[in-house]
Amino acid sequence: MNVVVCVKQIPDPAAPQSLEPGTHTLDRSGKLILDDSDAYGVEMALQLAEQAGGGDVTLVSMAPNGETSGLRTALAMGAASAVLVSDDALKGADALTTAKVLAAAIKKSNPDLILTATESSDGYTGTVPVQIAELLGLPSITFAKSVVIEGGNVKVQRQTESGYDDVVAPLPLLVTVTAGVVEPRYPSFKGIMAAKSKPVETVTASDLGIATGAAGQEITSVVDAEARAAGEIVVDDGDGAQRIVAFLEELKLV
Amino acid sequence: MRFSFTEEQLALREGTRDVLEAMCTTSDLRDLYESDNPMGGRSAERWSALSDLGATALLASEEAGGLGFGDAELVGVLEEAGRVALPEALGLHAGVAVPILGLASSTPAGLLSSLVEQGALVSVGGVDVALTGPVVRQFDGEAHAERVPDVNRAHSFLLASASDHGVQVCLVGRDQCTITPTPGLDTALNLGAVAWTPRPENVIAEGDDAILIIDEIASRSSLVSAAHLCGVVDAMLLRTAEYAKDRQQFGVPIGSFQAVKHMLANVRVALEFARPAVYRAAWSFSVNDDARHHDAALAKALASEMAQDAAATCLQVHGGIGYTWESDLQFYLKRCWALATAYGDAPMQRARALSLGLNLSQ
Repeated sequence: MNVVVCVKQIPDPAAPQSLEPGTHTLDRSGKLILDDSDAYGVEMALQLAEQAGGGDVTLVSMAPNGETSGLRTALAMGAASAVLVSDDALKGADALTTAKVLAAAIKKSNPDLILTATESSDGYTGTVPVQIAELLGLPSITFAKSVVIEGGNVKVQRQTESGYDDVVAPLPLLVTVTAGVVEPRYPSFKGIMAAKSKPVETVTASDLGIATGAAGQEITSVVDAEARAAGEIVVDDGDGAQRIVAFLEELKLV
Repeated sequence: MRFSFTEEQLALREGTRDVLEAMCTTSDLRDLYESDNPMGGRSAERWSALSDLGATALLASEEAGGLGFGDAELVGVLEEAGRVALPEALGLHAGVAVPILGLASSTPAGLLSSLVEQGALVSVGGVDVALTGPVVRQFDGEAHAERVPDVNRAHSFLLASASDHGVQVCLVGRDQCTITPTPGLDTALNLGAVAWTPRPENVIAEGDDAILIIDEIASRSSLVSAAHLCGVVDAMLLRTAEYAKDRQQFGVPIGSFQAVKHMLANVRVALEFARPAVYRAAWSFSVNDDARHHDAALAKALASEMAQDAAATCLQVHGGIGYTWESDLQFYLKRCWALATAYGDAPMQRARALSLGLNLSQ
């Protein structure tokens, strides 16, 4: 079974970050690392390929400056190869453009299953995965907390606010996985060494036949987040516990 | 000539950091310190993670199931172990026992690969560069090594001893030893006294071979503890600098005072001067350079001195809180104090470096 995992290489969240003054987009000029939320998809893909008795896990990523550091991490975990779309013309690409690019890159691998995270840890639009599925004309299942392949079908437990739904769909399809789906492995030294020689194909937008023009979306302004308002002080008139429970119920925490 | 680590070496170091930052947090260390069980915390889980990573068999040959790397790769891994004040004796196992077992001509075939396969930890004892004689003496056929690290976790011990018939290095299973836990400054190191009876079937080297191997053990122990100390001090200094930026006095962070800044800067300078000596010693071992014993002694001398000064400075910058049980600084302080004196303190190692250096120049 061939699985494609979409992975994003993002600026290290632990390092200070800045926006580019003109476009208000994140400055991505420094070293990029594998988005933590994508490690779950990579691990899930590796496990599914192993359970299926073989098959390759291919990574697809779009990043500026031919950046491969994050891809090497995922290759070290065990993925077989990667396709990197790197093109100055894609700088500041919006979600739909990104989806078109990734969909075109994925199509080349003709996978049985496409896995992505629910959203990236730097952009948080959460719209790219379903756009990819739509562009490829495939079904999609989002927020998977468990993925099992049975016959030609995928059985997914889809996380909801109150629990989960059991969803079944035929292959091929796209599934977005949550952070709880599996525990990602650490790359071993052998994996790290092997990753150096695994193939990473770098392509441009025009190689994929994608026309690059002005993005459909632009960020017009950015404002600082509002300072946190003072909380509500509950005076306990004997009904303190009930009021706290009511408050938590409102937040659907209990 | 290239004087920096290769991309590969840095990647191995980073891979180790990822695992250890998740598997050896200060709260893991606190669990260990506060537990009556010397194996408390996530010890077993952590060792198997290091084994899965490949860190424990980094220096074992590929035929033995290892990675066939050298000390230049290992040194970065050991520094990372120091940065989290790793309790397990990774340095002694991966940097002393494994290469020695690979080196000794009398190591039974398949022994090393079986140890690697099992993920077994081999600790080391009986050789102490700080002792006037290089090894412990046998009395009535029994030998007794003090302050052997990680005694509860060790699967077996690489032990040296001397009798009237000469010196021997043995690999002894824990079931053939009498182990008595010893109270120590840094309880995480899990020190113990190991008594054993050298038996012919356990002998890895004897006579002249053993003397050479004991020298390797002494120098390798110096190197791995020096590398560990560099990591400990690196983490301790970062933590202390953060504290100095946070702690306010006279309405400003104490780190804004020049006297505090200078003290911390001096620690950084000492660390950056010790590191190249440690890296050089690692390189000397990786190419089996004649100067490796001298280089290891110099590395340990610089690292010990640096770690003692660093511990004193970091404790002073923390002030009273640094003395408390509640402060995590204790994990790093205790490791500095313990390892700065173990395997030869600075004056002893300087003397060793001097005498070895004179021999080299002749």
